[in-house]
Amino acid sequence: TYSWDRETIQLMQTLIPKESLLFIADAKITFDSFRGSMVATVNSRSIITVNPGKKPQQHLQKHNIRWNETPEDSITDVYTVRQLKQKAQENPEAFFGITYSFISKLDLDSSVSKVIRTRCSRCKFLVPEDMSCTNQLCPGRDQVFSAATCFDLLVDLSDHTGTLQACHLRSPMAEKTLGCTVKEFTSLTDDKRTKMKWRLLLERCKIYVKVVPSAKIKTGVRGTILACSLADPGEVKQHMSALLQH
Amino acid sequence: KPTLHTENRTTLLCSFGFPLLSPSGCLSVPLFNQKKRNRIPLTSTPSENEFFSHSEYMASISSATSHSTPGEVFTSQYIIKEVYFHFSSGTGPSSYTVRQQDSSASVNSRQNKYQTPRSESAQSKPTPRTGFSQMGRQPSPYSQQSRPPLPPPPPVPPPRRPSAHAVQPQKNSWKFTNSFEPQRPSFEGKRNSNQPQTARPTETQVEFDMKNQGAFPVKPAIENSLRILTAVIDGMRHWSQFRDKVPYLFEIFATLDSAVTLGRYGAKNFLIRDGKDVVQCVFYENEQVLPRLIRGQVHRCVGNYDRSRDVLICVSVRPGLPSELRNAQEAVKACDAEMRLLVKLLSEV
Repeated sequence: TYSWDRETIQLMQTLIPKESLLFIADAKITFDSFRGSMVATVNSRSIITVNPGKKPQQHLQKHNIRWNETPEDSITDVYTVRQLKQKAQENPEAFFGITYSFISKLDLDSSVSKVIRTRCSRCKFLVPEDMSCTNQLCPGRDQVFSAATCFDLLVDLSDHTGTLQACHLRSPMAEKTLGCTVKEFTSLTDDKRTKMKWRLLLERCKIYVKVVPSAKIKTGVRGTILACSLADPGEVKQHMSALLQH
Repeated sequence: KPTLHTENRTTLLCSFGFPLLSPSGCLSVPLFNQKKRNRIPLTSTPSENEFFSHSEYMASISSATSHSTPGEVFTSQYIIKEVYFHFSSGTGPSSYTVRQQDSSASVNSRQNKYQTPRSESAQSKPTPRTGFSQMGRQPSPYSQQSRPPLPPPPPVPPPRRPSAHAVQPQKNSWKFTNSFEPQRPSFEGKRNSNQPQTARPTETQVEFDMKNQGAFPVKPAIENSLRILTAVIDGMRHWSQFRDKVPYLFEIFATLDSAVTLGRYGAKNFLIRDGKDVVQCVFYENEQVLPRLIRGQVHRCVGNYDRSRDVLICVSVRPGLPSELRNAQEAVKACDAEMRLLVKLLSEV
């Protein structure tokens, strides 16, 4: 979409890549000979809605466009830790799965920098606190630096088959898992953080995970937690029964 | 290069490979990665171990490594085990296949939603090891009293050229040659007839200057990362004998069978019972205060079982939920199955 309108340009600059959803009505569609393709142009008659409500969502669903789908909706395959690692070794592609594992490392009460990081609002790059964005390609580079703090933890997942180390647990999944915002977390005392830690540490959880094979990491696998909650014992039982059948 | 499934030992094994040996066969790099030295002292008592087939030569290793410091004994055991792994020639790549994949990994995705990972890794083909197949059919092992009917362990044949000079570390001399047992002809018969006897896989990792080169497929296949096992007290006692090979914590659901008493250094002591078995627990209030425990109620304890003192050192203790108790049995079974497989793998190394 192209636009020469100052207001529109300013609007675009507030948007966050890969996060903002735009509903654009009455965009002008023309063939651009320079670019050799159809382009949509926003003009004074176009209406742009950022992060629209329900109706456009339904429209997306109707056309099978995935947007902001929760992991719980679409991930159904259950793995043990070993199976996750094996699959990562056998396929170069990322995949998604559920694991009923214990959280065996969750350093919520160690130094805060291991829990919370600062990211540039525009491009999401990690930045050292109070400094400007170091990303060369950051669209907001010439503007006032704006950062957001977010959770960024490394977590280990263990079951009877092994441990998947250093899985990422980041915002916004971390907020749901821990039950608090970054701001709330930073105002907690150490004791409260320890208590929060032990609510999950060494407890069996139901974890939705994205696994990415990676040659850069020693273990060859990088896990990212998409959702995590204490496991329902009945579900765990089903999972264990299934394992025993084979 | 062969893939390794062990993590802690990866550095040890890799340093045991190509860069380590100069053409003359002498070591030029220290074997021990000091930073990763495991400090668990040698505690295994092989005679109690019904499932270990290499207990005989493990005993001889202990004497060979008497020069080492306690911290190093543990790691040197691993080094020696890997060396044995290389020296036991002839059975071909398949004998070191990741057997664990055959059962616990292959979960079907039929109507239910469980994933079917490929049960064979790309590099190996699982071959039935008839000699050890009996182990897989054992009933829950810790209820057995008699020795299971396993064939005698394949004794490790020595290399034609003594390897003592080839594997001598810079500091410690292991008296390697003492540890080898003479090659017995019966070992030949144990080989899987499908395997070529002089197979030379393309990925020979260790370049020893030895003449009787069999296959050196390096696929130890024993996951060495931490595991958490749900078990009953009896099972915990049984599986703990392998604790020095593979690290794990236990999750136990059992009834509080005593008052909580205060011990030294702020330790809280109590007994838990399931069925006829009782175990002493200790919990240190380092990070958390012990919650109020109610005698006669079931609690969940997670911790490390100290075999020498017969104590479960708990790091997490709380009342058990009724739903957890109902479903723990299944988890125990799954963990037992996994442990049986693991023990089998350990005995094959």
